Amino acid sequence: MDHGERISRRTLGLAAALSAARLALPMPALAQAAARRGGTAVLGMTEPTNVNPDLSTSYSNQLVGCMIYEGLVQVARDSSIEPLLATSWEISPDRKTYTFKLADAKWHDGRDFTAADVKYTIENVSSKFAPVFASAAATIESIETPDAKTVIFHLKTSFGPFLMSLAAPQGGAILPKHLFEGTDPLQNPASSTAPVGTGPFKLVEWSRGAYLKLVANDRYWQPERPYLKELIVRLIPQSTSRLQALRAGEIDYIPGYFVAASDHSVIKATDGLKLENSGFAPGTKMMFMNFASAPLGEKAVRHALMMATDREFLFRNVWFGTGGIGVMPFTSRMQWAADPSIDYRQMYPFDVDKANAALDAAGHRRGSNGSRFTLRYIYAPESADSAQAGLALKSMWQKIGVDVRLIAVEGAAYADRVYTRKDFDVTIVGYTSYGDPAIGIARVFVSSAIGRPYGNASQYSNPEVDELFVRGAAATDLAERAVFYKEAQRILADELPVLTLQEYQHEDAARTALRDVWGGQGYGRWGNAWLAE
Amino acid sequence: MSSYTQPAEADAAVEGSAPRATRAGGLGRNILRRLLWAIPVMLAIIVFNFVLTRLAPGDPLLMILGDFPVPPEYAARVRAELGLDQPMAVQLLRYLQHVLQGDLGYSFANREPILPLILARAANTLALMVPGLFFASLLGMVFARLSLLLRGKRALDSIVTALSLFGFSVPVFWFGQILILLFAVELGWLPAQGMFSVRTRLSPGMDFLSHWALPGLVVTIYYAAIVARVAQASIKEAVSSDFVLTAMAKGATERRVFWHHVFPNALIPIASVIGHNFGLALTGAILVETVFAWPGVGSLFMQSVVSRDYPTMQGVFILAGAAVVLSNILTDALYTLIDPRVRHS
Repeated sequence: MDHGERISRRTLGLAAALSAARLALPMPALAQAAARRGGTAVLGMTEPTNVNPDLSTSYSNQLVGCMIYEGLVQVARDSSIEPLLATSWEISPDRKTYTFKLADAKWHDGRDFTAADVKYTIENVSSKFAPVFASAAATIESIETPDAKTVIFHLKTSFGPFLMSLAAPQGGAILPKHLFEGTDPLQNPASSTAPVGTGPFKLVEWSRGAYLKLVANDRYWQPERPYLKELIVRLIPQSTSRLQALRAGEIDYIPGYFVAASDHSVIKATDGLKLENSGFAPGTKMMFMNFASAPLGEKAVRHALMMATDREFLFRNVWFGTGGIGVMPFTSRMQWAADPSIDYRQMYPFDVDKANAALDAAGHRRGSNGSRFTLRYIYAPESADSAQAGLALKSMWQKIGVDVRLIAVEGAAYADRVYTRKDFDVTIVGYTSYGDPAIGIARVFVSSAIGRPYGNASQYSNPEVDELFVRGAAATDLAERAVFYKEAQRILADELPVLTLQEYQHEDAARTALRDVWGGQGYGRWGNAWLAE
Repeated sequence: MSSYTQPAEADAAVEGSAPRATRAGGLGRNILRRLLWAIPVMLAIIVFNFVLTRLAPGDPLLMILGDFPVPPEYAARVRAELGLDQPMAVQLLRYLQHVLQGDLGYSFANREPILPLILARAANTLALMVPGLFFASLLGMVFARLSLLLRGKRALDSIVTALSLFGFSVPVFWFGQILILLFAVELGWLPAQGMFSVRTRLSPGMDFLSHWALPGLVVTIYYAAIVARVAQASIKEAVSSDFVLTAMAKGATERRVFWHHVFPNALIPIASVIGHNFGLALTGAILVETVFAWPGVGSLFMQSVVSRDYPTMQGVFILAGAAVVLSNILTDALYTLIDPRVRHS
C-alpha cells in the first residue's frame, strides 16, 4: 500500500467534501463549532531571532514563521500529509518522481505565487540552510517547472518521508523568489523584519523585546480564512511570568514547548484555561552514554545502569507524570515504526540486586569505599528536569556503587561540551522525532551523526544499524520501512546506546475560548484558529 | 572625627573668599581631565569584555543553527559568514576599527545592527529605572532621616532598619513574582508583564503607569534600601562628630543642626551611592526586566548571553561601561559643588 498516495487522496477528498459543505449548507450539525470571525489572540513566548522557517529549528522562529510562510504540504494530527500550497500531487511507481499542482496563491505584496518560487526556494534556501531538510535535499536530483502551476521533483533515490519534508516546519517553507534571488537569505529582511509570505497572517510590527503584531491577510488564497483579525506575540522570556500572564488573562496561549510540566497541574486547576496536545512530533528523553569513556563502552555496564534506574520514579517526580515512561529505543507513539514486542520494563526491570550482580560479573568490583566507578553527569541548569533527574540518579546509582558527579554547564555551553568536545560521561537530552525515524530518530544512532550537535552523542557505531536506517529511509512504503526500523530497534534494545527514559509530548496552555489551533507538528494552524468570545 | 574636618558653617567664610572664576575653571579642568581619563578606561573595557566573552565556553554557532545536526560544511559556511572563523586578535582589531567609527556591529541572533537595537531598548530601561531611582533616592534619605529621629525609640528604629534590610536583601526575582501573583493574578488590579497592553481601555499614559507600577516598585524598594543604608551610616557618623557636638553646645536646635551640619557633611557618600545607582541604570534591572518581560537592555542582555550573541553582549558592555564612567564624572563634578574640601584640594 502506498502510504503517501493513500493519505493524500483520502484527505483531498475529505477537504473537498468539507469545503463544498461549508459553501453549500449552513451546517446545523456543526453549528456549535462554527468559527467566530474577528478578535485578537495573544500568544506568550520567547523572542524569535527570525521568522524564516527554512533557516533554523528554533521553536519561536518556526511558530511565527509558519503563520507567514507555507509549505507545499502540511502534516495532520495523525502524521498524514495534507495539501497546502500544493493542491494535489502524483507520485511515480518507483517513488522517484513527484508532480505537484500548485494553488492560486498570492504573496503578501500582491505578486503571484508560482512554480519558480518553489524551485528557487528548495534549491537555494531549503537545501542549503534548513537543517531538517538536509536528508531530503540529498535525494533531489533536479526540479522541473513545466508551467507556472506545476512542479516536478526528480529524486536520485526514493526517500520515505519526502512529502513530509516539504512541510514548512521541516524547512520546506516556500519563499518569494523575487525578493530572495541574489541575496543572502540570512540577512534578507524578508527572513526577519519584513517577511512576505503566502500565509494567513502578515507581520506588520516587531517591537524588539516587547511584541510582534500580525494582521489577517485579507487576500489569503484559502476562502474564509483566517478567522482572527490579529495575532499578537508577546515576548515573555521567563516561564513563570508567562504562566502568570495567562492566568491574569493578558495572553491566550503559550506553546507547549514553553510550558513546564510542573505547571500542568496549575493550568488544569484554573478555570477558563486548558491544556491541549500541541501535535508536535512525539519525542523521547534519553540518557546518552559516552562510549569513549570507559566503562560505558561495555554493554553489561549499560544494562546494569538501566536496571538501577527507577524510571517509574523519574516519570512521576521529574516529569510530573506527563507523557509516558520510555519503553523502547524509539517513541512508541510512532506506531507504524515501533516494535510493540520490545518493552524495557520487561527486558530491564528496575532491580538493584540484578544490576549489582551484572556489574560484579562484568568485573567492576566495589573498592574499599564501596564504589565501583564514578560517572560525570553533565546538565544545563536551565532545564529543571535534567537537574532533578541528576539528583535522583545520584541516589539511585549509589546503591550499585556508581558515584555520580553532577556537573552543571550553562545552556549555551552545553552542546559544545557534549557534542563537539565530547567531554562527558552521561547526560539526558530530549529529541523530537520530527514525525519520522529517518529525520528525527536516525540522528541518535547512526555513525554519521557522531560529533554533530544534537546527533549521536553516545558515539555508538554499528554498521548494521547504519545500513538499516539507510534502507528504512529509502524503502517505498510504510510496511516495508517498518521492517527495517523494527530490526534496528531489536539490535538497539539489546545494545542500549541510549537509555530511553521518558516519552514526551508538548501540551499547549490556552484559554478555553481559543479554538481549532491544533494540527500536526505543534506550531498551530493559526489560519483556522478563532476565539469563542 | 579628625580635627581638620571643617564644619559647613565655618566653611562659608572660605567659600566667600574664593573667586568665582577660579571655581568654575577648576570644575571645568577637573571634568576635562576626567573625560580624557575616560578614553583609556573605555578602551580597556572594550578589550577586556571582548576577550572575556570569547573565553566563556559555548559556541554562538550552535545557538544560531538550532537543535538539529547540520552538515559540517554548512556550519563552516555560516561561521565564515559571521567572521567567527578568524583568529581572536583579528576579530578584536576589526571590532575596534568598527567601534571607533561608531559601528557596534551586527547582532548574530537578531540579525540587526547593534546600536539602534540597544538604543531602543535603553530608552525602555531608562523609562523604568530613572523614575525608580529618583523615588529610591528620596525614599532612602527620608528613611535615614526617620531612623535618626527615631533614635532612642528602639522598637521603631529596629522596624525601620529591618525594612531597609529587607528591601536590600529580598531576591527581586522572588519578590517580583509575589507581587505579580498578588496584584495581577489574584486581585487583577495591575498587569503582570510588558510595558504596554495590547487590549486596554486606558490612555497610553495610564497604561504605561499601570505597567510601570510593579517593576517600578521592585526597583524603587531595592535601590531605596541601598540609599537608606548608606545614608543612615553616614548620617550617624556625622552626628557623632565634634562639630555637631559644638553646634549642639552652642544651643542650635535639632532641626538646624541636622540641616546645617549633619546633612551637608553626610551628603558625600549619599551622592556617591546615588551616582553609582544611576550609573547602573542601564543594566541594574536585568532580573526585574526578565521577571516582568520589560523590553529593556537587561532582557536583551540576558537573551544575548543565552544565545552567545557576542556583538550584542559587547554593545551592552560598552554602553553600560560608558554610563558608569559618565556617572562617575558627573558625581565627581557634584562633589566639587557640594564639598568645599574637594573644591579646594
